[in-house]
Amino acid sequence: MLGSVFAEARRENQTPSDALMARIMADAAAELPRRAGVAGDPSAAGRTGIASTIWALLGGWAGAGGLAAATVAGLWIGVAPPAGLTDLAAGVLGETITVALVPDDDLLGVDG
Amino acid sequence: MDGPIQAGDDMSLDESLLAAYAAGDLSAARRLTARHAPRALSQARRMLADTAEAEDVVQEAMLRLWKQAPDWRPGEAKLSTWLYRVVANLCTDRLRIRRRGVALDEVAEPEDGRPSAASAMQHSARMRALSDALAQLPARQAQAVALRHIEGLGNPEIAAVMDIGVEAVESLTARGKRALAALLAGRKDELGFTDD
Repeated sequence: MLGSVFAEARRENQTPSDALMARIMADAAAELPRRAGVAGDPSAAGRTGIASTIWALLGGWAGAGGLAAATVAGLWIGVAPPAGLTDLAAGVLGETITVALVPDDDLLGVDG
Repeated sequence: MDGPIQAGDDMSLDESLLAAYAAGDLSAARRLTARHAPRALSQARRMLADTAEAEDVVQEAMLRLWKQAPDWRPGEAKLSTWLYRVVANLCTDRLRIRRRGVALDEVAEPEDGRPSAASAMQHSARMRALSDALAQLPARQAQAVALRHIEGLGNPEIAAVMDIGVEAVESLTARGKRALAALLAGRKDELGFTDD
């Protein structure tokens, strides 16, 4: 009897369903970036070694956001300094020099 | 569609595919799944007699393969041998849990009077009875018997799968088979065996 049951079991073959294959491949895809450092995780993609170290030192996206805001604010203060800043600089440094970023000449001749 | 990976034999092809997956090639995982999941699913289904449980086992076994891929050592073990071992271990884990909750005589008997339906149900009952009887055995005996008599592996291959000697395989198989016979003997009529 046991031999018959074994034989019956041996004849039983199961074909994987599409759903099972999809589950297995989803795991494979999810495991890929963690193991190989590619595709799927934009924060990890393309940054290795020194680049990722610098990125970490800057504090990741949160740190980079603050850095970007400070950069824009600094640029704006340079282009359009608030009233009083020039007087303050003159008081601290003794002398200020103004450099025009845009030439005074009418390069395009639109002023006639 | 299958990509450029070619290899001379099954073992080196599997190793090439694993290395490609570890390097970021997802299509290599697809090929490995197509090559090994069907056999692994049949093994799990035969031991557990439950498709949903067998599918969970195969998914878990393949997940372990994905995790293992970067550390796979070429030439050390055949992927198929490794997978037989992982699936067998996962199955006996589940059988152990089942043993706590299911009595051996709780298998449903055929209720439908039509011959084909009755035959299919009797087949299901026999497969479940075999699985539940395996659950009663010590895990190593269950694995050895299943690999020898259900999967049809030779003793040297079973020894490699279970990481033991051939003599230990023979001993486990003999004891496991005797225990299975005893467990199923009392259910001969119920499972539709009228002679021998």
